[in-house]
Amino acid sequence: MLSNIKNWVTSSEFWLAIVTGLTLSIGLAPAVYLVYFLKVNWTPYSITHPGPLFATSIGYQLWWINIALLCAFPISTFLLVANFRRMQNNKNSRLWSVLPIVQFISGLINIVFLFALLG
Amino acid sequence: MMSTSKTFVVVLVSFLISSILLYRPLLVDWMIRNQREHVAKDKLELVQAKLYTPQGVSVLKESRSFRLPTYFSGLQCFGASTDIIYGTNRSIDEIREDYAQALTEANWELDSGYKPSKDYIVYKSGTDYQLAIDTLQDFNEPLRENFKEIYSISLTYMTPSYHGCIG
Repeated sequence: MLSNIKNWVTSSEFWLAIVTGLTLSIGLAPAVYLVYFLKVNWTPYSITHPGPLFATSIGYQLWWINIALLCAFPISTFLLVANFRRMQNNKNSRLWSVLPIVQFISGLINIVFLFALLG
Repeated sequence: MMSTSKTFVVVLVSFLISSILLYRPLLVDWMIRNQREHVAKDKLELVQAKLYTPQGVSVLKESRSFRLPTYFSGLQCFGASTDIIYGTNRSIDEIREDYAQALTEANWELDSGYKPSKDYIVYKSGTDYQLAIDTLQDFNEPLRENFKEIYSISLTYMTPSYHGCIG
């Protein structure tokens, strides 16, 4: 039982699943924040007015987490996928291969949202 | 190898835990806004219920707005205001006198922060409430034709203090 759990936790697929969950929440965060601020009628007074998360700790956090999504996440995910594919080459392993590309693209798109939030 | 259902559960748990951490400020902000909006609404309604209305005037339009703090900017000021547009066939001088008398009796005083003017008279009650009577109000809807004079009342509640928040 214990060795089963140990095998499970140390498997590449387990960590890929964790990274997928993180990618989903981090990838969606800037859009969710922007939608929330639009919903509560946060409106900039002028084009030069700072965004709602300007100079806030959560604003900085979102920025640096997104930079990680753009750089560190795709590299580490790529290494995990390479290891997983070395162990087994099936439909699942090919599916995971898309993840680093998705992370990089969502990181790029989020930069636009973050500029609106941080101003 | 993990089964698909196990993988899905791990993805979901990872997504939920990281979402709670990432979106927590949004939830806090939403709760603060709701709570402050309730307080501001109650405080405004308390005074609005006792607001003097002269005889021979009709309400043409009423609107309410809120100024709420955000968790993100750390602003402390919050409040609400209601704008009521009235129409009347009485003279505006009579209306002005009626208000002056009724508001003084209700312990409202002229706000010394504003330059005295016949067309825009500002009263205050304590530090949180302000009432402005604007007799130069624009109102271009069809109802306008039934009345000789149009004026508006703006009642504002702002805390910690009106002048501290609005200036």
